Amino acid sequence: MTEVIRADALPDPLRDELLAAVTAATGLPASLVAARRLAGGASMETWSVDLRVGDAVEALVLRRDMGANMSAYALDRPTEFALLQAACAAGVRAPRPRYLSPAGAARRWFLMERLPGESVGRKVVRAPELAAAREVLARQLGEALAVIHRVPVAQGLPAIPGPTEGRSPAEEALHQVRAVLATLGLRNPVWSYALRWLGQRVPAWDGALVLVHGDYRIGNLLVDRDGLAGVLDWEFAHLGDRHEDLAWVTVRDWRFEQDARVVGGVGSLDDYLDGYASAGGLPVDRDAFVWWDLIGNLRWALMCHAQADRHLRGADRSVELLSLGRKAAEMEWELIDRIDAIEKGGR
Amino acid sequence: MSDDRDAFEQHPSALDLIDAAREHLATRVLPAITDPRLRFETLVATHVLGVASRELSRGPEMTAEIDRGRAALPGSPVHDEALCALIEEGRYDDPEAGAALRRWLQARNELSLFAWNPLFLMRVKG
Repeated sequence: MTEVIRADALPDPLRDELLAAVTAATGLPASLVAARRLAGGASMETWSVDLRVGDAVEALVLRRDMGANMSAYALDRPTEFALLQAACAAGVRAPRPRYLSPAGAARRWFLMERLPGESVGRKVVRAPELAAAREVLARQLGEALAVIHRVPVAQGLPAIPGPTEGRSPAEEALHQVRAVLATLGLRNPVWSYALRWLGQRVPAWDGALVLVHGDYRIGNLLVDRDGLAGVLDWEFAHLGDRHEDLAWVTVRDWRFEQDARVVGGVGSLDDYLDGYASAGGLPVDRDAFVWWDLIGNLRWALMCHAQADRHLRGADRSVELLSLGRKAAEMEWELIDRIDAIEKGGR
Repeated sequence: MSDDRDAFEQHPSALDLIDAAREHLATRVLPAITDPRLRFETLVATHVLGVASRELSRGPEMTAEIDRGRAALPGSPVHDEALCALIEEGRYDDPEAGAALRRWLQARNELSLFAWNPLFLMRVKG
């Protein structure tokens, strides 16, 4: 699924915590068959874990808090677990959540089923064995997003964050960008200009508040030879405007250098939006779509600087995190280039 | 010193040191690493040394070009902080001023990208 970084044994206290939780949930004896650490995100520890539960062996993935949150807007593990249950019940292709850490665990975790497929972005957009998958993927991504946007979130779920009362999702996004800027304490004329430009063109909102995955892009999607096999990484899910999710996968950086394939480096916008509409997605407003694409670039640029800041403040010393601060120039280029084209009458 | 060179000019230069460290990582360290995660992190370290090298090699030229361009913008801001304040006051809402600002911002981005990722620049500029 993802790159193996080392074949560590699961630390004993964590192993014992997992096995106790599985036994408590099933009433069956549980034992560890195999575990290996996977390359995870910056805020999450992930392991591939095989457990014997009773007579069966379950192939699972462990998602566990690292201790330091990447974002104030991220879900905690119990909420992500409950949301995954709701998404699977609504027909979303996603790993079924299986076991949740006990409430007293110092770092919360959950185990979900391990699906086959590739999630590494560079491989998804290039691997020869996924060529046939790429032919259908853009359409499938649109279809799957329409299903996600229909997941009922009102009943039986912990609170999913949404826009502050009185703000539209776009106004909330602008508010969050300003909050991140204030936290960073940095000034950059590209950000100032983009923020002012976007603030003067906030799209009208039709009031439809849907479940937004929040990080729906190549890299967070499992792909096999038939196409989309599963939607991963739900920690940034929230209630919002469908256009936010629709546009995020088209942000240039998620094309992994396959620039001409606007949707995640794998397909066309027409196929993607046709897929969304054919699966019952609500109408798409092209101006709103573009606005969310642009603010997506701004947010990703700021997130890159926030990651560099983690190194600079000493919270997580990492040359990889530090380097992301310079990567922001790519998104800044895109922002100005796109705004310039719009101002000149194009897209 | 009898000539007019900077008294603190060092030999080998900072650029020489950075290039040597980058070459060492690329040719001696990377081939010996088998752990995929450590290999990736070392590739990133090698890359950032390349970024620093490209930036230092054009540093004074880049800074002077950026400063000249900024000062020529409407309102004549002398630094980024002043420019941000002018943007937020609406000084560049006018189409002509906005176009001038975008041209300068993109020239500034080009210089950043020359250091960070020259291939990206080649790709997006065609």
